Amino acid sequence: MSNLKLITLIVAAVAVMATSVYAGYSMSESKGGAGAASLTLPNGSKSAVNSASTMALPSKTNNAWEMEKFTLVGLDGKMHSLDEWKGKVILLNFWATWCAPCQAEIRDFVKYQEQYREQGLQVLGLGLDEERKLRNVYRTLEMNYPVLITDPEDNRDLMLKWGNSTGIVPYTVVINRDGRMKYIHRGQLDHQSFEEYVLPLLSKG
Amino acid sequence: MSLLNRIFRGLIVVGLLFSATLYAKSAPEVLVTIGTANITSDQLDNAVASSPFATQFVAMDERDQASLRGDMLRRLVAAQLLKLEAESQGFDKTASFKREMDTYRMGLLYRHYMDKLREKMVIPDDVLASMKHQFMRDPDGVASAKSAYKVDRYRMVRLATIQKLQKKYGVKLYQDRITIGLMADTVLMDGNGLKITYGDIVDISKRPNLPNPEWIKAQLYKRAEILLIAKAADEEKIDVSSQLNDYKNERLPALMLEMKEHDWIKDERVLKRYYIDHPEMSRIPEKRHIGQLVVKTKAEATALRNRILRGESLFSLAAAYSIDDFGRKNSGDIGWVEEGRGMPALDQAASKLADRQLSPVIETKEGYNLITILERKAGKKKNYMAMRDRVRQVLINEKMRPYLGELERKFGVSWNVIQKPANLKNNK
Repeated sequence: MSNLKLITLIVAAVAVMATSVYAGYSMSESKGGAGAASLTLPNGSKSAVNSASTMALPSKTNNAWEMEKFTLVGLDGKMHSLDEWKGKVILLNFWATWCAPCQAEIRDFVKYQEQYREQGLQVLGLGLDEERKLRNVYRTLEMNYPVLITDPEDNRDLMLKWGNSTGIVPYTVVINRDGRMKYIHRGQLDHQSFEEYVLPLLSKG
Repeated sequence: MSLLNRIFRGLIVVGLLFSATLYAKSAPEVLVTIGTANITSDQLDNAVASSPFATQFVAMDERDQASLRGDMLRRLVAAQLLKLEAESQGFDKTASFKREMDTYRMGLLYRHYMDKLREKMVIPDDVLASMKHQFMRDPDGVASAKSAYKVDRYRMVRLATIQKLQKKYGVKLYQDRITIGLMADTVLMDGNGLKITYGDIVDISKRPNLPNPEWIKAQLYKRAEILLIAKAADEEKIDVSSQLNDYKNERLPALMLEMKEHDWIKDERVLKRYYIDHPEMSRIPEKRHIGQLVVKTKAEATALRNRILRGESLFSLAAAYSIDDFGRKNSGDIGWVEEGRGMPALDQAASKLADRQLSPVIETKEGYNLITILERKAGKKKNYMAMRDRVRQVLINEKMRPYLGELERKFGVSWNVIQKPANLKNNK
């Protein structure tokens, strides 16, 4: 674990230098490649999403339902996979308990989930941390959406598959109802980005 | 608060307060009443959220969270008691405190006024469009360009604002008076209700000789700018009373504490005396690398002891016969053990052993033990300078407890959170 932390620190420092604007933390070693700017899509236009996302996602698809399926246990003790929420606008959020920006955006996500549930919003947390700590955060922040547990030693591949090549957290993928990934956000998802990239996908309340 | 945090570190922690989350939605509960003032659950949540452990707190177990909340609540109570005492001694009425508050207030007004100016700045559409064009598909680039533009604009807006206000208040600067013979009451700026004297910007008692005139001018302009903006902010009725009050609530306990610390530790001799009177504080215990064998019966232990005395190795016998798994796995090598740690009977026996000497059979709750010391690192005593900060801390903590008790009796404290006194635990 201390090795992981050391690597995390080194990668975080490299990420700061590489991207100059740095809003989150890094979870694992960088494999190089795409920088932050190429992944943070400027708008929802189809061509931009296609070029940037397929470039970043090793699975060469821009559709979540065409990607390799993952099944993980949730804090509710049951097994879950992403297609349970097919048809919703999914905010797939990678987070860790030690990460302050993650905690800050979780507070926002709880409000969004409450406010936009009926309009089809589904936040889904992927906790990259010990189950006990994940449960504590879940309780303390009164989280109202599912959190799936990923193995802290083995979550790098999963992040990589979702385009998170540097292992930064928080990291959020916005998936539209048809499975298309509309936006990827590195670092804390601010209100402005939520309004710009997520709100338009929700049905009018 | 950081001063208080430092001082109360090590106080008894109350293992209570299993309650609301960090950001309670329900109406705030009154947790403690001190004199006529209340400490509410909201205040406690805010204190926790702005503490250095705010992030870790969220991921902690319920019991640890309760402990920390309890500890934080005690600090808030202590701060409130110290504030009341400071007020009862008239600390808030002194000229220097009033001056300090006034300086802080002007700083707040200045910041609010300038923040408002900054908020009002709008990037024209055509400029924004050209930025977006230049940094296509690079939102970070656009963000940087926007801030660079605003920084540049702000520089101009600030200068224009100062000039405008200078005119409005008819303010005159007398830079030519900055020369030898300046007195504390020499006026360097005046205008509509505004005045700056040399004594306002330079403390003559600390700088009896005339400093570099350019430096004095820089101080004068800085102060003039703050005064002008603060006056303009006052006229716009910008309200900073709540931040000012927060500042007062932090400063008064700190001042009280400073005074008490000075009372308790009048000079260095007090600390040195404490260091000498408490030698155990500065002792680094001896460390011993220990070999051990443990078996079920005394007869077995005695037989093995004889075999070792006849030349067999304690370590190979431990690997074969020891009943503790760790010892057997490691052939009796149990590593470095600090003096005073481990089972008392073994610690005591070890203190009498020479290096490589075999102990007699020692009875413990594990069974019958034989030990030997392979090597040792001698104990040491830390010198006064290395211990000074720690001594100071311990001494203050020692004085603080009865003093806070005294204040509690004086002002009256009623706790509304103690439900399960059985949970009180000493977390020292």
